[in-house]
Amino acid sequence: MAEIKKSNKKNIWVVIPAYNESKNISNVLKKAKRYAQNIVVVDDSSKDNTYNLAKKEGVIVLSHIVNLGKGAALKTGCDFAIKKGAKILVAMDADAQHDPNEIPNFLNALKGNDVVLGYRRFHKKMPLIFRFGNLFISKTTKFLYGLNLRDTQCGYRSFTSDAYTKMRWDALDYSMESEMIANIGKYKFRYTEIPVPTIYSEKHKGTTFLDGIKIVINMIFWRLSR
Amino acid sequence: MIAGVQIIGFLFGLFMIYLTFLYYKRKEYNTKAFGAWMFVWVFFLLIVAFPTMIYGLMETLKVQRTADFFVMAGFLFFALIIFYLFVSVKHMQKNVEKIVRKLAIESER
Repeated sequence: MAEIKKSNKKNIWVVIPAYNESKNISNVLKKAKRYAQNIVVVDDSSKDNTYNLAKKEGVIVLSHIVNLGKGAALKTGCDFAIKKGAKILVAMDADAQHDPNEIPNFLNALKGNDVVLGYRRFHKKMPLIFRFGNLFISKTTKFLYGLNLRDTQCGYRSFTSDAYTKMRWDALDYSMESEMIANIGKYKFRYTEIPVPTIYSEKHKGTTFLDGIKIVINMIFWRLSR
Repeated sequence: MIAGVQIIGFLFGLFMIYLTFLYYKRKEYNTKAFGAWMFVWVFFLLIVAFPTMIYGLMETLKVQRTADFFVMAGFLFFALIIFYLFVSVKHMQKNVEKIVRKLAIESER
């Protein structure tokens, strides 16, 4: 596993949006701290103890007073990091689906690129509806934007601060991942994909069937409006 | 138009005038909005009470029955209202997002 130089660590910010993640947040943060000294958790008005547990880990915790959605929480974290001088941002989920051990791989892949997108290798454990939804959205992405991506919905991503400033999304919810891809196409960013382990901790979390339909409608709208 | 439908329409119009006045008194909206809504309901009452008023317009639009005219006008009115609500909600959503983000970032010491 690649090591990260201490001098470079101060410009790297890991942004973790969290909503009702008291079960996983502590473990995720313990692992992430090994690879980044700047970690910001954005508690999106959780009803459980997420905020306090994250605080206990000694990371920066921002709190939304009302629940806005993943896209908004990630944007808050990224805006904060940029304000603090971040040059590289790593976005990951708080539900333990994203292994923090992959952070060095993202940082290595970012060399010479503007954006790095994680992709999951789909296997039988992945719920069928997720596999079908992902395939459908991937095909739509190819058709609308000409980008041939293996996984359009994986939220494990890394990007430079310059890229973030340009592609700052409007979507408040899960469709921000697709909006980010639309912006990659729009600004012709240099991007690459790297494989990440597929971990499904909770079946009922994440993008729903209705979210999928909304994402596709939004993608058509973004294509027409850009 | 059937008298029964006219009565229901008239009572509905009066009820909406009452609600418009009630919420204005509770200062839920300003005089401008009150005036606009009162105009809508008074106009509605007049058409219900004297449907012959719009026969000329119906003839121009080639609409045969008064009920058809009401359904068509209703759809257009609702479409307009839904669009206006959509724009208002999006505008408010953006403002809420900005405030929540500002508070979150500023509260971090």
